[in-house]
Amino acid sequence: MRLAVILLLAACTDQQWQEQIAALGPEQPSIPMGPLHRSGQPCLLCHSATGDAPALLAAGTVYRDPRATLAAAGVAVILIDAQRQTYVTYSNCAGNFFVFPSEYQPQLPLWVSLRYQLSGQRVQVDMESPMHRDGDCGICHRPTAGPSSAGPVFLSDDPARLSMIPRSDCTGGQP
Amino acid sequence: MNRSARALSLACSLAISCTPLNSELDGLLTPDAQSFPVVADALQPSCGTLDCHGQIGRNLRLFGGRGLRLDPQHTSAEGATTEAEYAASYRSLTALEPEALDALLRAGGEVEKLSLLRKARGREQHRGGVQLLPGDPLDRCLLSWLAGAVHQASCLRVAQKPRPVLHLP
Repeated sequence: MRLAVILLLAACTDQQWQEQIAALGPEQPSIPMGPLHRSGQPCLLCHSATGDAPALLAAGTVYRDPRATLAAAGVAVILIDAQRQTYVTYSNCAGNFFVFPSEYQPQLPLWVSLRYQLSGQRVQVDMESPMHRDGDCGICHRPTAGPSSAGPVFLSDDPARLSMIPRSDCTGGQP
Repeated sequence: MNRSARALSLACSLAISCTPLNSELDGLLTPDAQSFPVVADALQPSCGTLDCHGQIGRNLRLFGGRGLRLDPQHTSAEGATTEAEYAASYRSLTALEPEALDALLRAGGEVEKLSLLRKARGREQHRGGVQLLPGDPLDRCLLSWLAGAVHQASCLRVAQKPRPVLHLP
């Protein structure tokens, strides 16, 4: 009986997970599977220990503006954990960034900051709240802000500042 | 807001703040609702984030200005926690184990009879890990609220907890 219940629960969980993945839609034909694909989506749905893709510890996408129209490349994504251990990774030309479990073993919660250069000056953007469960940015940072979404991860909403941020010439992964 | 709407709002606020939840239905005691907002603000950064209890699917569902929003027109990206969100979080928290909460409020005793405390202290399996330790500010904030006199300083200290300082070049 107990085994039956466990199997039933596992089946339900698996089905829910499969539905979440299916809801992401198919790959874009013009973008090969790899570091540039599926910008803005919750990466760890597939890139987890139970998923089909290589497991990631943290992953997400950085955009230049709050409407997520253009990716932000070369942005330093700084992770800092409860023990003040830091790890820095950089967004690629699709705005995607990711950290493998072999690279960093944080103790949650995990805080995140972005850093980029603007006219020779260093600009830092701090995430207001920490991550407690995992490093899947796209779970909370969906393409648009809503009652359960903080909207995309972006650098600035100031048009003057945005005009000074170089555009990425990479077309891979645009939403 | 016109006069009648204001009167209705005031009446609702008074009803929430002065009447223990369910008291007229089944006599169960609940902690003070009027002093709950400061407790909710303290819970927000540790428990109420979008990846934890700021999710619609959680049993304990917490609402907040930077978390799960009650009004579908609001977003998690901006705005302060509304009165309705405080009230919804209060209901969520007090309806989790109403009988156990009532027993604790009536007779006192071991606070870890509440799953809320057991999970947050890591005594029971909790996906979010240990969020408070006995005696730390969030623990004091919660326990003082349960005891009927919120320790504001502890709650504020957690609610305004600064993020770690980066020591990178």
